[in-house]
This record gives sequence, structure tokens and C-alpha cells, in this order.
Amino acid sequence: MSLSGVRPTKGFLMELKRRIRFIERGCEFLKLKRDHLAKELSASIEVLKGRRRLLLAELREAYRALTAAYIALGPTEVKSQARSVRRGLKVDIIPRSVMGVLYPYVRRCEKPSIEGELDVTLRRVAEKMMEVIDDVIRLAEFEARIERIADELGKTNRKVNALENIVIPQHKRIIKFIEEKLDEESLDDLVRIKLIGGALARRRE
Amino acid sequence: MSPGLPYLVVRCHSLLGRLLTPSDMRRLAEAGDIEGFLRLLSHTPYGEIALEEGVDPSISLERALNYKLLGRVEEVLRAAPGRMGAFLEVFTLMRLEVINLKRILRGRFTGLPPSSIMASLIPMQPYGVADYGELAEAGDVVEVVSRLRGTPYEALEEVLDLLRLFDALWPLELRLSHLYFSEVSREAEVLPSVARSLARRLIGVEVDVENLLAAIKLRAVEKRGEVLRRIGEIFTSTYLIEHGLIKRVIEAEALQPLIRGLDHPYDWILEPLLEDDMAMIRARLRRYIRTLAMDGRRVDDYGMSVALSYIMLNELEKDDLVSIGWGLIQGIPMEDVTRYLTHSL
Repeated sequence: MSLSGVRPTKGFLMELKRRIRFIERGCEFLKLKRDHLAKELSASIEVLKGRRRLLLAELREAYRALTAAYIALGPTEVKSQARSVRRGLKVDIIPRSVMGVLYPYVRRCEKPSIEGELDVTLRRVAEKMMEVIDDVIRLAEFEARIERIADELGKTNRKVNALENIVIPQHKRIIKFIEEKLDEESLDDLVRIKLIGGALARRRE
Repeated sequence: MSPGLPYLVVRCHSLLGRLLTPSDMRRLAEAGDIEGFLRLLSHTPYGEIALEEGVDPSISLERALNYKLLGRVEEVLRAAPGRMGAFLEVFTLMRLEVINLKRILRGRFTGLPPSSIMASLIPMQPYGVADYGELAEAGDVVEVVSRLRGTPYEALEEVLDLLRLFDALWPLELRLSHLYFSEVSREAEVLPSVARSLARRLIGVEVDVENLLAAIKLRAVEKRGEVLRRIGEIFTSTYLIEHGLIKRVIEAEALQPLIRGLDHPYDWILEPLLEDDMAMIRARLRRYIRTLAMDGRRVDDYGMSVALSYIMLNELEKDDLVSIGWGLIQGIPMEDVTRYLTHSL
């Protein structure tokens, strides 16, 4: 807001004062949100590190079992048995929210029917892989949540900075300008009243 | 001794020299990559192997090694006299055909295109059925089974109600293994007693382990009560493991005491189950079969057992080569591969 278009009126000053109070309150809320998001983000990153370590260990174990199954059964047999599984994995993606930040939540609707069809070697691998897939889904969901929180934190931080460093000081400058202008005007009025009063007194004499 | 048997035995003795030695296997396992593996393999009796373009190299290698195996089996079958030849055909070709039929049934069960089913088959001439292509093009599993009428597999029709009851393919797959076992047992009557006993042991241990693994698998199915009620229908062939034990495996709360209480070799073969290493069960089964084949040959070095040993050792060697090749293609550390091989390197 530049000073050129400013109306130095009392009404506008009151409006600006009301607006700055509102902005300062909003800024406080945004600061609270920023602090909460930052806390949430740093806690989530710690959890994410732990989950990734666990997932890597699970993946290593599942791949070791898969390798062993390939060696025990041969690649063609593994492919043939894997293709005998009729139902596949089906998931639904539902939006969830934390502090107004939307993130995807994945719900498993249908899992592959591996109980009867696969050889025990391959069934064990399939079970391990299903556990890993579940964890991969949960981790992806968690990573998406962290990403969205980080985005929101960035946005909130930019908003707070803009309010603190630009909007509020600008409003304060305008208020100061209007107040000075109004003071000047009232001083002018006072001088003018004094002069008029003096002139009227001289005329009465 | 039938007139052609000495020739078969002498032929098999000479063919046994073609099997790879443990040091050959070790060199192949240490080849570093698939090109090195194929180069080393070309200096062995396997000769040159060219991988097909545009096909998964491990599948292509398995196909090529299956061709080699079939070629070797053919050599034995050509040298085998009359009824011995008929037995060896059942012993080897039906064994491979059962694998193909299981793959066709799986493909029809999930509605795979016939071309995909055909690509997964062992590249052999049909043994008991007329044409694999015709079976692969059937509308569904029931139609495949109906097209098997008049073949050694027509008894599969008896299992169709189990297929409907469990809405699963395992009853058919299990029955195919049982049909192979009973057919080999029946045909083995023509063999001299030592070879007959070896043939039954080679196939019997395998069918028993298959039955035990199936029982372990069936512990998890929804209609476990139905499985227990119809156990005689499901497990039509057994060797040393009786129905009572299969039932106990399905019902048991914990498997550990049952497995520890099994007779040898089943306790040793199934022991890795307790450590959750399912693949090692297959590796141990193969190792046991290899030991049986080697021992059988030692006992009956101038009889039919040599042919059985040669065929079995060939199949086990082919499986090991497929595993090594797959490991090299996938870049798997070789120690992870060799621990599951039949040959101890």
C-alpha cells in the first residue's frame, strides 16, 4: 500500500487501526501454527528415519526369501505360480487432514489370495512381500504427510514474514502518516480558528 | 537281464561322464557374469547356448537347459530296451509333462492368454496328451480337465468338486503329483527289484514331502474342516507318510514337535521350516534325492539303477545351472545362491 492513495481521514485511520489489530492477531495465530507445524515436522522426520531403517531391513529379508524361492523353484515356475494368484492388491486413497493440511490416506480394500495357490516357499515370500507392501504404503503415506506439512510450514513462514516485515510496518507507517497529517490539519484548524477568532474580536472592538 | 539292458547300462555309464564335476560347477558359479558363465559352459558337454533375443535371459537360459536335458533323456530312452523304455518314459517324460499341465491349469485358472501359457512350458513333445496348445486354448480349468479324458490324467475329473468347493487349484495340482507317483509305481513293476525300490524311493520321498508341504499350506485355508473330512480324497497317494500324520500336521497347534518327531529323512528335510527358510526344504529334498541316486548307483552299478541315477542327476544338475545363471543375471552374491544348490561347492 503506497502513501499516495491514502485518504488521511479519521474514519480511514480507525479502519486501518481495526485492520492492523486483526492482522496482528492473525499473525500471532500463524506464528502458533508455524511453531506447531515445525514441531510436528521435526518429530515426524525422526519417526520417518526409524521407519525407513525398519523397512530396509524388512525389504532385505523379503528379497532374500524371494531370491531363495527363485533358486529353489526356478524363474519359470516362480512366474507361473505368481500368475496363478487371482485377486490383486486394491487400495483406496482417502484425504485426511492435520491442522488443515490435507494428506493422502491409503486404505487396503482387497489383498491377493495366496493361501491356497502358492507353493509354501513362494507363499512365505508373498506373505513377507505383503507385509513390506503394507509398510511401503504406510511409509509413502507418512512421507506425503511430511511433505505437505513442510510445504505448509514454508507457506506459513512466508506469510508470517510478509506480515511482520511488510504488511504490519506498512500499515504502521500509513497510520503514522495519517496521524501526523491529522495532527497537522488540527494544528492548521487551531491556527485558523485563532486567526478567525482574533479577526472577529478585532471587528467587535 | 533283458538283452538290451547291458547296452543301456554301458551307455549310461559313458553318459555319466558328461555330468559336471563339483569343480566345474564352482568355476561356473564364479564366472562373474552371464557371458562368462555361457563361455565356460560352452567348454563343457553342454556346448554353446545362445539366449533368445527379447526374452527374459533367465527364462531363456532355463528353456535352453531344458532342451539340453530333454536331449540327454532322449539318448537314454533310445538306448532303453522295450518295457524298461516304457518305464523310463513315464519316469522322465510324465514328470516333465505334469509340470507343464500344472502351468496350463494355472494359466487357465487366471485367464492368461494361451501364448503366455505356451511360453512358460518345458519345450517338449507331449507325452500323454495330444497337444498342449489345445489345452492352453481351453475356456477354463474344467474344460482343460475334460480335454484330458482318455489320457493318463483323466482321474483329474474326480477332483473337480474339490476345485469348486475350495475355489482353488491346489487339489488339481496335488492330484497331478499323485497320478505321477502311482503311474511310476505301477510301471516300476517291470523293473528288477533293486531298481524298482530305487525308483519308488526317488519318487516316494518327493511325494511325501509334497504332501507334507501341502498339509502345511492347508493349515491356513478357510475350509480346514472340509480338508480334514476329505483327507483321503485329497491325498490319494502317499509313500511312507500316512494320512494320520498328514491330518496331525493340518490340525497341530505347533509344528515344531511334529517335525522333530518325523522319521529320517523327513525330519532333516523339513527342519528349515522351523527357521522359516522354506527354500532350504526344496534344497534339502534335492540333496537327499541326489544322495539316493548316488547310493542307488553304487549298489546296482551294472543294473537299471544307473539309468535312473543318470536321469535324476541330470535333472538336479540342470536345476543348479538354472539357479547359478539366474543369480549371475540378477547380480546376486554367489554365496546366497550356492547355499541352496544341490551340489555342495
